[in-house]
Amino acid sequence: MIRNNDKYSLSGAELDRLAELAKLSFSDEEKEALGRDMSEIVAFASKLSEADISEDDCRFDAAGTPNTLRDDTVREGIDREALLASSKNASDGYIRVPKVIEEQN
Amino acid sequence: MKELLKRDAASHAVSLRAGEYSSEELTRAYLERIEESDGEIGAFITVTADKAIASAKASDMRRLEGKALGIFDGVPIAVKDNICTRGTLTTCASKMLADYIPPYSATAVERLERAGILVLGKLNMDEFGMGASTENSAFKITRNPYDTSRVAGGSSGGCAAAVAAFEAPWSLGSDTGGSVRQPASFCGAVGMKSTYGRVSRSGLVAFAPSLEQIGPITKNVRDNANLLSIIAGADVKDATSLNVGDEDFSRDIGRDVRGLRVGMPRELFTENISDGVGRAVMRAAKILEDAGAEVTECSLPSAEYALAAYYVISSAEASSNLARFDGVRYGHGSNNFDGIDEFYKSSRAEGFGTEVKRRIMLGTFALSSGYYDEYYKKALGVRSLVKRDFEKLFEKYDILLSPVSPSVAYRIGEKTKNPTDMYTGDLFCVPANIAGIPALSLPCGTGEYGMPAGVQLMGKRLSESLLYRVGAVIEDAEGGGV
Amino acid sequence: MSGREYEMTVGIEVHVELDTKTKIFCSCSSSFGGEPNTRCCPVCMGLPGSLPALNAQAVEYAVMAGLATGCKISRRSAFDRKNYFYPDLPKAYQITQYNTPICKDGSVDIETEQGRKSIGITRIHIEEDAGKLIHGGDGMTLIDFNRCGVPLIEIVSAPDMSSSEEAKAYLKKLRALMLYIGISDCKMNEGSFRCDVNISVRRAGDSALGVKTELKNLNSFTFAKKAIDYEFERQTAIIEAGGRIEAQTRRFEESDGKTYLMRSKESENDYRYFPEPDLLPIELSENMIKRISENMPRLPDERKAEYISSYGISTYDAELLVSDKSVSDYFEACAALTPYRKTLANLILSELMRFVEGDGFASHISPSNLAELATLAGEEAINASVAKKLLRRLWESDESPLAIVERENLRQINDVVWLTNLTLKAIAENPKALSDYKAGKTVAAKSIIGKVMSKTGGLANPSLLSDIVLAELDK
Repeated sequence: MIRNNDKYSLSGAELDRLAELAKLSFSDEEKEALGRDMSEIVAFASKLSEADISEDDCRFDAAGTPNTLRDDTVREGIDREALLASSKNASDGYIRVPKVIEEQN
Repeated sequence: MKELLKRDAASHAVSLRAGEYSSEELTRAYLERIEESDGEIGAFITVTADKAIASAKASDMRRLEGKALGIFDGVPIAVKDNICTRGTLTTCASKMLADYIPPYSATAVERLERAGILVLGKLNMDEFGMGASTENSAFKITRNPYDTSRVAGGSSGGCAAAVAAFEAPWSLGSDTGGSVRQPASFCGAVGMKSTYGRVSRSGLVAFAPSLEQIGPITKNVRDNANLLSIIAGADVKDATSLNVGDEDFSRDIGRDVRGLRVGMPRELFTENISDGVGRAVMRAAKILEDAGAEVTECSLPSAEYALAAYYVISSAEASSNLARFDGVRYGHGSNNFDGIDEFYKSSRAEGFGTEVKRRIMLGTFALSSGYYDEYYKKALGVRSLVKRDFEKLFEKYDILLSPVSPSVAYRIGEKTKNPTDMYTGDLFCVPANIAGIPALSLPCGTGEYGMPAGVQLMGKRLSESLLYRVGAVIEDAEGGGV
Repeated sequence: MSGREYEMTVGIEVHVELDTKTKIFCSCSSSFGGEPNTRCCPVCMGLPGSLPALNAQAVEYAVMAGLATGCKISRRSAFDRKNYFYPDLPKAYQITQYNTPICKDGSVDIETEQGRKSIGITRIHIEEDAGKLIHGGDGMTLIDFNRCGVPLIEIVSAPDMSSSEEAKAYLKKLRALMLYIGISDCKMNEGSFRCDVNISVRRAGDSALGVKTELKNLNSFTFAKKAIDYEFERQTAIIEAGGRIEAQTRRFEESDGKTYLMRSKESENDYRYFPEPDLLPIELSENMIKRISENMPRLPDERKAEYISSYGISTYDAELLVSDKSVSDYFEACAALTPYRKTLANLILSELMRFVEGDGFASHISPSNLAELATLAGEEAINASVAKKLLRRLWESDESPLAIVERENLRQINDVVWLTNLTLKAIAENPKALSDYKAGKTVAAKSIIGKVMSKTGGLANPSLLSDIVLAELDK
């Protein structure tokens, strides 16, 4: 990202990297508009760096209460047909996708 | 238009009980109204006429047998299309979910069903809740019933328009950064964003889970309080739902406001506020003052950062939440089958609209290595700051009064060009989402172009009953809700 | 090969599937197998609008794992999302603990031929398992989400191991510990105990660590050891040849014992971890931690110390007994029924262990029968070879050893007069043995002992007999 007196500009390569992470694809035209819009929003968001906050403030604490825990008791789920009904890729109780080779994680 | 359509939910409840009309008659009246006017308004994505009539008949049967499920048994409602309804399309106004029929219902919908309230259909919105005008729907634009050349607001534009157009007595929306309150104010309705955790989010298709709540849009304050009482409550399916016991939020309506301390945070009275909106807020202040409240100016210094924090946090969460839409188990799957990676990319590129992709990209940016500390983490810090500011304010004030939006409903197409311009419209609403506090939006007279103008009341956590009490005082002075 | 100039540094990440009834964030059954996609619901299939609800048992099991490995238990820990796209991951993020693991800073002691060593445990965190991919022959991959959402803990060791033997000992010890506390069945073939090994090589004496590679698909302790040995050789050869080690993830191939490149670490995803907004932090009260720790089963080190101090069993034997929980449990069940624990330990370690893997003992010989046998042997009512033979018979039938001994007159003969008479007779019949013995061939005594022993049908007390024979020969 190039910074020049409050002007921010996301490079094409950076947009490509983000699109790869987000599994999105854009035409060149779309990318240009996106780059412009995002640069503007990012510039706006850079205001955050002016806020007077401590490291402790940056902890996530949405509700301020601890988690409630669930009992370890089996309950029937929803039957397979209903769960797979929305998938165009279901057959024989499985979901099929284009072949995946490399093992992740 | 049938006269009974002008009545609020509470009046329907009374009439159903008195046998003045049946739930089936009432439901058919709304369905006819939808048929007649929604072509122009565009509030509904799906109308579930057959199911609604069947439910209405069942309700009438229960009532006949003296087994009504509660005072609102047989009253219809309409629900935003990002709230799951078992067996009924739930599209989030996205091409991605154009055919999606969920196999389970949201907890809030189950609670409606338990109260005998029946669903007329699903309401239009900005795709996945991302937008403030319902112009970002993949299917259609929702028009403001007060002036159809104007937007209904958003993202719950369909919810507010349906109520304002007499297509439903009340509706359920969702509010991530003003998505219930702003359309309510654009359409002259009452909208509530409750304390974070009041209403279960189970079955609400997530946009930004740490910020959002399902919330009622109604004709008046009392209906709103009643509807919130029905949908609120702890839920084992939502770990963030609060275990604070059930509450009748209408219990304090009718009490006066004498001695209440009302603050007006000067940071929420920005220069871009229209005269009409400014007048509405000042009028509300005057009403409260006349009723014996002390109204003074105060300060919410972190407000200037809240909007930036909101966009960073909501986009970051959205980038992760919307990653599950990959075309595999549900939703739009591309015909491009050339490898799994291409399948993901083309399914998502084809299924999502421009604004959704923009926010996913922004959120991916804010979380990506190299930028996380500067954007996402900083935004969390600002979040703490905003919370602290509110806590301090609520030591001195019982409620805070502000505008909901800088202007009344604007013209369709007027603000679509520049995203940040559109975003700044959310300035007054997002602090409540950031801090998790309740906020009520209600009409207060008319602003420019004869359009409704609204005001916002904010209170500390769990103070919904107080907000309704104060709201009702303003509403009464204005001649009462419709 | 100049292996001695190089040393390896090994750290291990182990994923343990927790033996809860339900999945970590929903109430679907978490048991292994089942028809595809039948143990699923909106939550574990990642349907829109579904939310996670944390399983209390999974949290308790994770705390137990931490206590068993001497970790500090975090009073407050939280979940994060790890974002990446993959067909076995329905939400496109894994819920895990990145910033604040539930346990940290522990250690596990291992025993190798080089002696005892303490291996540090950096952290233990809770996370969800992914679904299963089945690669079809038709260019498609099939997905089964039954395993998706099964609770896992990941136990991350410090890079404290410096040989494949140590790595293997660590894995065995860790697995034993998990079985002792009963939080997992630890079946490596079903994937409920899986390990990834990080290994780097450096010149002996260098202070900086080398570039590490990560090894995957290690489905047994033996494979893990083989993979480490292979990888050490491979990396050493590259350095020797002046090359540089690349940070890689490599897959162990069982068929040829080699490792193959899966992907380079540089191409690794940017996972964009951030706090999971759908779950609030886990807060554990001091009371809750205390309750869990009071209910912890006895761990191997504690049992071992007890065997040594109370039963007089050797350190080596005690270590062997506790290395497998089922063996240790069986030993204890028997030990409660006989005062002769050393004899008992010998019977188990030198005889029974040869017959079958640990789990099978109790189903073959009841603890009361084995205890009775140990008592008979300990009281010298039978001799060692009879004890051995009886053990084999008990394996086949369910008879009481005492009944067999009585019925078949298998009691050890301690009658000095009778044994002396038999000895004198044997010497008289074998004059050559006597002359050989007198000429200094002491082995000749053995043939006399053998002859007498066979006359008694193998029942003579061997040490008593030996004393008598030597005394008579010396006369």
